[in-house]
Amino acid sequence: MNAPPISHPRWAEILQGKRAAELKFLGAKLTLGRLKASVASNPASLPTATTELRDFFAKLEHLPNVQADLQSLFG
Amino acid sequence: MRQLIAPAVARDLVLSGRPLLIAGDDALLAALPPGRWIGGTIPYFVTADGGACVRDRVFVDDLHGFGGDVRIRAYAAEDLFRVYADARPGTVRFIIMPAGSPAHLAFGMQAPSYPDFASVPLVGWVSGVHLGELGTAAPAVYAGPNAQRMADGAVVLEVPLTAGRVGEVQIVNPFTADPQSPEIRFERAGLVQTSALVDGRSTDFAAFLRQRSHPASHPLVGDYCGAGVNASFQDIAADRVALYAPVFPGVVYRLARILPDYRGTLAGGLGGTWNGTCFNCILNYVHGGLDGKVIGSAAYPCTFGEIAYQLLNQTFVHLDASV
Repeated sequence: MNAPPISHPRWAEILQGKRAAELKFLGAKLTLGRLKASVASNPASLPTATTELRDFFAKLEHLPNVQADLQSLFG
Repeated sequence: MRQLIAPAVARDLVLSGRPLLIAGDDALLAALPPGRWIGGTIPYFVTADGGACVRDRVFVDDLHGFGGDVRIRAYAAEDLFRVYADARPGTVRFIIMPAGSPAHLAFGMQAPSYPDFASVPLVGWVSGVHLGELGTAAPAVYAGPNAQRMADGAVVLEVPLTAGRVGEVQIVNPFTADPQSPEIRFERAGLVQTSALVDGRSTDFAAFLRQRSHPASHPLVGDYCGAGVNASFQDIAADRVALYAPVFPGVVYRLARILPDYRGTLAGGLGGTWNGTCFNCILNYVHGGLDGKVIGSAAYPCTFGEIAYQLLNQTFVHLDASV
């Protein structure tokens, strides 16, 4: 599964905590945790955070745990 | 091989050309010849025989099983942001940096935002000193190719993973967030905090901890999408709290649930088989009473901070290179 395009609304839902994220990849937990915190303290950062989160998953989508995480988030 | 050995044996291993991670007393590391190794000062270790402070042997993690083209690089604090971007695809990076150094602070504060964060497994530790020499001895790291001692910066050893393997960084945090703890948030990132938002109310953080009689041996636990990330207490003073890892705005922290049996919890979490490079925390060693006590079969140094993609505290870190 490829990381969905940035226009997919679920990226924002995940960052705003509107969708639970059960992740396997430690790097993804740390990154998403940081970005969610960033959005929580500064909601105006949502667009930037969305881009960063999508880019993170897109760069690492070849990793098995990241694939599992993408399935969990978007499958 | 991952064990404590005599300096002369370590010397022979270095001269054999094997890529090595070496931990031990400063004087022992300083006596090693140039070679394909990186090292850091620390005298605390756990092995299958138990925890021990050892100053006449060094701990060697022999990485020759990785094979391939080994690269070693020293980074100045201001260049550490490249630690992921510089990595070759399909490799794993081991990193060591001195406690309290500008590199340590820079990494702690900024690593989560580094370009290409987590693009390769990055594991490592923060070098330290004998606890009786805090304030007098200085932690250091060594860049093996020229056996250079560094009081600041970081040393990185990069090895290729076996074809088809990706490596998995695993952590075991003995602490969980106490569900009875209020939510604690901070308005500014950093190691030193004077105030906190406790259930949304601005509060004198040191006074809050004293009022709850919270033991300094038990950290703050930050929630990172299911991963608990600790910020351990260094000092709870009259008007400020110093931590061993920075806290960040927006992250929800809670006080750690009190462990009825600290050492037992460590033993339970670490009782399995750990075949890869691993590290644990000096705070777990001290507060868990590990000196002379057996908690498992794995062997590792107990360090002044652990690195699993970013800086961690009071956490066991393991690299599984078989996956």
